[in-house]
Amino acid sequence: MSLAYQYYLLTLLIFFGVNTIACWSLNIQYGVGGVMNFAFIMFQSVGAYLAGVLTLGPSTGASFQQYILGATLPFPLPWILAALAGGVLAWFVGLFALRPGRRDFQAMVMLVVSIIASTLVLTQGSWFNGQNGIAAIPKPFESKLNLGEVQYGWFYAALTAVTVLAVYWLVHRLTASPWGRRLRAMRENPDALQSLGVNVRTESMKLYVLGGALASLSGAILVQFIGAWSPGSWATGETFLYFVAVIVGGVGNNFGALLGAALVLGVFEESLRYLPSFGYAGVAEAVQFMLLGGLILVFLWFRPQGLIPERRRRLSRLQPEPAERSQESSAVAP
Amino acid sequence: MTAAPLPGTVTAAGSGADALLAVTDLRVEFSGVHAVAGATFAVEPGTITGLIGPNGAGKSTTLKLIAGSEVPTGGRVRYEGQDITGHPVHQVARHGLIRTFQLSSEFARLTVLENLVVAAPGQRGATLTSALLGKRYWRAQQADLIGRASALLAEFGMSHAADQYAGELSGGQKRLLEIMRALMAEPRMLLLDEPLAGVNPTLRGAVTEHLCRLRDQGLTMLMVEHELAAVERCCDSVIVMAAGRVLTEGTMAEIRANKEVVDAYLLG
Repeated sequence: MSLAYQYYLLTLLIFFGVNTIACWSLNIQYGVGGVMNFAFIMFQSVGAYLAGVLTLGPSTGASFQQYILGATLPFPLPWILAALAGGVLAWFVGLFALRPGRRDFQAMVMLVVSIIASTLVLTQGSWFNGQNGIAAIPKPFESKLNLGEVQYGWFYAALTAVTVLAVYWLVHRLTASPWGRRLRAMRENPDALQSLGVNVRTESMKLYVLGGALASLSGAILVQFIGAWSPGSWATGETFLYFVAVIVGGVGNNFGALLGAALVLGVFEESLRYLPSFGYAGVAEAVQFMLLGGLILVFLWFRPQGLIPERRRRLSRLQPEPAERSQESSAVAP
Repeated sequence: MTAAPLPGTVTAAGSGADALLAVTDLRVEFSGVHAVAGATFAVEPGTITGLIGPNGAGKSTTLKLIAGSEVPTGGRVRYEGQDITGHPVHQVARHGLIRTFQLSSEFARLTVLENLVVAAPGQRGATLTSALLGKRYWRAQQADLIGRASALLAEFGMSHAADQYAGELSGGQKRLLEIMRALMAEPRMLLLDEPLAGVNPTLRGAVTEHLCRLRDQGLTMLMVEHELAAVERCCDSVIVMAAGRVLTEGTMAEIRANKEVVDAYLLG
């Protein structure tokens, strides 16, 4: 296998890992808890910017880029701090955006916040170097390992894979728990859940913070691999790309989200790269978004549950003493 | 607009220490409309109290004010001697005062059993942090809850639907599910908003029976209902509301003899 081909392959794998974490973040928020985080891409960028400046070292001001919060922290601190920052930002946005009983309001506020954040970073050049963004971000252990570019790439892919497994452990544990059931009940009917004694505002805040942290983590992983980040990477529309992935893969199912990340953000996006260029510059990109729009319409119309739908949890199988149950329910049990 | 004391409201003065729920001069207005304009009544423990009256009398709004989903502009709600006026919905529920909804409010894409289990208070693993402790921490208690929920399903004759999505149930079954779900929340008192709406006559009898049985087991209920036959069968006392106030109180037989009530229903 040629080195170039290997590099292409491992890049796809790392992107797949990053996108999978991103989709799990959206899935637990939207698919499980019903919180439509239309500011998703903002959280991913916050993680990316923060992990970037925390490894770049203090801004000298004289160099080609200026930024705040510069530091030289060893791995994995930049990732951890990025995730924490995503959580803190989610908490702050959640304070005024979260209204479990008013999903339309909630989604719109988040979208607007995302646009405002994007505009601020773009215009406030002293924060994260404005529209040029930050570049030349060091990679974890790169200087110590002294590997070739491809070899290092495989190392980074392994690092990503380990993180993906850790995040899976987390989201699976949560979605399979009684808390996960509560979140699904909140998705179905927040008012009814509240009237059973659950503070849905607090629960959706916890969920929002968790999802924000995971989104930021995905951004941190991505930025340390590609080594650069600029406002162009987080146009507001990107959020919807991830929503398409989760909806196509299967809303409320972690494996569905993973499949969506692979098919929509991997195969679908990547195959468009091989389209012959035509028309004006930017036409191909616009067509790409149109195709995505078509894809989401097709799925919402013909298969709204996605490719791997949410699992029906047959609790009657988990009864304490099946022998004591009435005839009807023992017929259901295996 | 002040509420002149109406004949009949006097009985509410008996809302002494033994009342489980006491509502005093409860008021709310929505952009100038006095939906509830000084309602005063009390609910004795271990009884089913019916709340009847013409459309727009403020019955459902009164229930919402008690449950906390609307905030009163005046008046007091006392429950077990504690002032719970304006407390948020989930806090009122945690006191054991559980409300059901006028429109079916099942968790559609949760199974029937899940609908019941999710309602149980104090569940292990039902918070973000305790969920992280893993299955071993919450599995045994969940099994107990599933057992309790299954027993409830058997009691209401719905065991066959245990693993069906609640959204697939018929309208009447959804009403039953709603009552069962409220029972899983370990209530000391139920606020029922038209529990018989949309239930077929056969099932209606069964639901009424269940409610009577629950009352005999010591559960207190305040029930808004239009189905007067059912109210007559299971309500110990009946409160009649009209135009946001309590018109009169008494047994159904007394109410039927009251000309004012007949007028309210005919004119309201």
